[in-house]
Amino acid sequence: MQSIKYALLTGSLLLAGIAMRPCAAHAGDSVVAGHEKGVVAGLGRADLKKYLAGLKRAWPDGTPVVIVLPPKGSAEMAHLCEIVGMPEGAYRRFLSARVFRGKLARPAKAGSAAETAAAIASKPGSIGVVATSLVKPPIVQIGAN
Amino acid sequence: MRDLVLVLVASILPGVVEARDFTLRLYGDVNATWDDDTEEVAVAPGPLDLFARADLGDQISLLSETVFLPEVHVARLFVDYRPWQPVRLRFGRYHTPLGYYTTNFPHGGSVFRLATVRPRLVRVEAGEAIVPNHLQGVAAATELPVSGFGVLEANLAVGDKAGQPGYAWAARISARPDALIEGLDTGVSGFAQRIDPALGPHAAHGGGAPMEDLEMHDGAEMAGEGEMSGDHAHTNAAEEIWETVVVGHLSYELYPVEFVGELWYIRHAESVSGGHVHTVLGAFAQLGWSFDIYTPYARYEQFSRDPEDLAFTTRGAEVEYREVLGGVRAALHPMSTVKLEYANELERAAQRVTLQATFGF
Repeated sequence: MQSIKYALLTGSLLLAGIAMRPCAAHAGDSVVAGHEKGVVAGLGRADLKKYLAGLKRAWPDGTPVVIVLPPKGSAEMAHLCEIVGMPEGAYRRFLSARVFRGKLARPAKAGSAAETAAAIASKPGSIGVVATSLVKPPIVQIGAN
Repeated sequence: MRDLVLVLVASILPGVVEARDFTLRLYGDVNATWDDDTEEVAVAPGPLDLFARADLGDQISLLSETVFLPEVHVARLFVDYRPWQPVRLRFGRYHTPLGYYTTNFPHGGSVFRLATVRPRLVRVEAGEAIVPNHLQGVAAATELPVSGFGVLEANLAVGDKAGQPGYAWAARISARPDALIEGLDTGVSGFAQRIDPALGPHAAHGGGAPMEDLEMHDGAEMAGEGEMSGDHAHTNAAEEIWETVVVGHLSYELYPVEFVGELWYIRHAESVSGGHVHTVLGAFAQLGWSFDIYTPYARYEQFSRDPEDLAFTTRGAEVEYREVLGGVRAALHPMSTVKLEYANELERAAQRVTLQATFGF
């Protein structure tokens, strides 16, 4: 019995040593946007969440949903986290789990705001959060900022 | 099985080369376990899981998952084809659409699981599988949006079972009432197959060891190969066993909550006049609640089976099983976690503490 206490205590100390990492605050002027082909404009927050969380895999016309992830820790990523209601790490793990389950195509990852916009513009059905200034054809705004 | 794999690999390789999107991941874990049997800490790596997925276009994708246990085991290998919205067809080897856990928490992805191990009922690494985890054949799925409710999903699968006669059938109907409770998934599944005990009962459920590697339980001979003794004597006359399975599931996965509960009923009917009917009744429920990167969790599981059930005589599944466990998962990174867990297998009064590090890259 003494041994089990030591095992639990040792493990607890190890876990406690892992620093809590706060979620970045959403700041900046960004909107949910997508490629003009396939996506549906004027979506409410609940629908945006389903597409951005990979719970809907295709747009109404059948075009597969392609999630474009903004850079880690960016204002756009914070905005995205706010919509899906998860911290960044939990959101990334959630998407990876859906890919592993065979229920989602791998999200595209962007290294900068410009890359995010370029990724959305390059593929029909893409959806992501981009700076408002980068919304121009073929990128269209599909949700409120 | 080998033929199926070869045909699939040969047919998909050219496509993978041309794939516009290709994902390759390696998942694994390392465990330090203390148990009160040995009163020692044993450190051992868990299974390595090589996962690949390729999109060949808007309609076709490929997925493979190979687990090194350390034996090489093809866990999943299928072509996913979407001929039209919203129908999906799968050809190959896949997880049986039975309940929620089996299809949503594949083998090696311990980084995505709450606990350090899968529930015993759906565990494939434990020597003897309790439920049929894999099928190889064809599966179809469709989703039907229902206005003001959410989505209804139907799955139908038919496949063979590693040398067992005939085909196995599985069907699942589930509902995701997003308009009412977002994150909820509930449904019922059924499964039916014929088991020839002379070919190795329930080997097909596990998918781990090949048939020839199975160890006989208590030295019992297979039916039809000689006299059996003791509790298994009545099974001499059984030429085949009809297995039917019914599962109900309820899951809720919406940050910060993760909940999965399943209720299993398994019936084995021997196909002789006055043949015995054996049943397994089991259930598990697990709950986790995240506080940023920390997720405390707990799980309770139990099942009981008839000790005379011929379908379980080869690999020694427990007759009575009750386990309670609890722990904390810390997500160091989206693809790496550390878990500390205490488990108590109540029937044996066996306790263990596990520290598990998981990763994926």
